[in-house]
Amino acid sequence: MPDIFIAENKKEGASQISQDLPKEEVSQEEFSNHSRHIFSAFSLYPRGVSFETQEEGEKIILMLRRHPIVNVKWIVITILLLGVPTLLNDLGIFSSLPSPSGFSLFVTLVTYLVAMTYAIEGFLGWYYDIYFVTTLRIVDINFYNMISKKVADAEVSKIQNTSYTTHGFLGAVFNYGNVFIQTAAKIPEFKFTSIPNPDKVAKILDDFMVKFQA
Amino acid sequence: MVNFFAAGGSEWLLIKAFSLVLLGIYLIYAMVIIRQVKLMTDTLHVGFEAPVKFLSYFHLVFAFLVFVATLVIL
Repeated sequence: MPDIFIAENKKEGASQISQDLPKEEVSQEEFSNHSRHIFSAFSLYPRGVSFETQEEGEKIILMLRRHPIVNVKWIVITILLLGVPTLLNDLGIFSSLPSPSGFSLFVTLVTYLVAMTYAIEGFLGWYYDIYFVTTLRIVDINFYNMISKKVADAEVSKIQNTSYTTHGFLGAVFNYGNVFIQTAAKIPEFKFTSIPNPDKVAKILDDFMVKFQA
Repeated sequence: MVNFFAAGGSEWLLIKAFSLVLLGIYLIYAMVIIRQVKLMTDTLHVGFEAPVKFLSYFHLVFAFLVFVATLVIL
């Protein structure tokens, strides 16, 4: 695997680090699974992406989401929900009920509304659950309870150890898994969950760690 | 206690009222989703903000239309 970073010299301050590290010295083609489209789950040096607490001069090296395969569950459930009114109609449930004429339409509309909400929540939960590796920090942004968020970060210089796991049939087939990052920061461990290419992410972080400790 | 179900069709009035209450709560939920999307798009800029915002407003409009439709058809 090609080196991602080559440290020139050990820098003294974070501001210098942000200016000098890492170098984008690897061609994008060498990361076969990397892409920059808006639904990418593994994006190296993403363009047009920023986050609220990003500092001036801080460059995003990696943007990660959970592997797209995790969306299959909510997509399948949404499709099944959309089929419920048709199924009820075909089974003659509507005609057997002593209900007003608009009852079937009411059930259909409500089912579509619930399906739409479920799909939106499923999509948002995946799309905005993002991990960043920047020139300064690793950042984990989580949204929960619909109107709350949690932004956790740790300086890359405080990364102490990284490890990764791939588990299960799907994890092996689609090459996704968890990356664990131990840090000396306030938050001792970060977990990047179900991300694609966990081996490459761990390698990049290891590279980072080695360069900072050199 | 009033026995709605013995009142020849009044049970549907009860179902309609119950449905409208639930859909009213759902409308509030749809507004919370708009708030949620705003929070997300303010925190992260990933180039897909406009479609996501449109989706959340479309959802609210759809929820409102279902509420009105229930008022009319049930």
